[in-house]
Amino acid sequence: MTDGASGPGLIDRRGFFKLVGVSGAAAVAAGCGKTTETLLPYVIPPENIVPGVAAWYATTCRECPAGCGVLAKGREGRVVKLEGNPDHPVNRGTLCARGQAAIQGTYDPDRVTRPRVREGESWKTLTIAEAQKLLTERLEAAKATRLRDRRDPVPRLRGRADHPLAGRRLPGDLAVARRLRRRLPPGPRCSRGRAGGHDHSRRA
Amino acid sequence: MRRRHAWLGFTGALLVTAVILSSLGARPARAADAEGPRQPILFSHKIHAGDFQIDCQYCHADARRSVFAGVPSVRRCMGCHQIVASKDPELQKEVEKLRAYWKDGKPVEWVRIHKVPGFVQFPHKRHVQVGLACQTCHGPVQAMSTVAQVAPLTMGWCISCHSERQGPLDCVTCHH
Repeated sequence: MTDGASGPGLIDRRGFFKLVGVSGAAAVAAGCGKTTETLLPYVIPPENIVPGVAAWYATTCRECPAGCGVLAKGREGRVVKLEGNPDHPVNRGTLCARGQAAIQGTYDPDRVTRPRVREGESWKTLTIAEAQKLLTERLEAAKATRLRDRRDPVPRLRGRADHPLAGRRLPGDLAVARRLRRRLPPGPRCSRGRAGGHDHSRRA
Repeated sequence: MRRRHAWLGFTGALLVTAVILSSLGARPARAADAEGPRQPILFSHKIHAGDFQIDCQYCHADARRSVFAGVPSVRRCMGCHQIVASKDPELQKEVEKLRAYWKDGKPVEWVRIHKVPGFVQFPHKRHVQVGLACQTCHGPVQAMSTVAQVAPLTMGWCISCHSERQGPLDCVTCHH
């Protein structure tokens, strides 16, 4: 006996849905099985990194000319969070939204990874050696001209034309420098993240 | 009637398969395997921790410092195996595999055996520092030539130990 209109060897509508439902359930159940996960050890473990423990390094924010002190939290060699450095005289532990977001720039796939120099409207990529040579030349040239001979001795932010502060006077730089001079105790001070720098892992 | 019977038989068979598969899936991942997964190097804890009495934390040195017990670096293995070989030619093959990894500067792709779900925090550090033996959760590893998961690592199992030894029972102790 065949049910309904389906011919011999054909599946009717109801049968089709039964089949789909059951085989779907079987596929879902089978999908819950084991997956293999691998654990990759270091070949040579880097010093000062314990997998699972955050390493804090002191560094400087470069999002604006203020140059706030930043503590960077690293996990297995990758920076995951930035916080203000409470020991730093400029920001005293605070960090603005832009500074907090600087971490996005660190791993931006479109970030500038090589030195570049402006060539008219576009940029030309340089090697590190070329960039160092160019920088030395320009510095030597700058040394040759005396500061008071210049028409405009106040530093201006140069570089990116689309920067919100592009071309504007930066009295802030002078204010920051004055504050730094007032607050910094004599002697060397760690404001750069280096492995050999002094310990910022314990927060004050 | 014949076709209907065939249909019933077919769907029945599928259902049975589905039930068997789902029951397999519901079990803790590795508990079903008595021998555990096959590792790229047939490393024997029985020889290292059992026969030679090497302390667990000589190799898993991060256990007391970190959330993870850590897999020893290839360099740590080579610390001994630069000099130490095996008299058994079968075992010596495995030592040679390790030396090949070291020579190529590649990590050994160990297959993970123990894992708690992502919403659970299990810090090895606290458990080691409180003086628990590794075997409490990992079983008699020093007697295993291949490591398999022994404990179910389920929440009920964690809680029973925590209440027995007066460990914290707050939800946020592990779920945070």
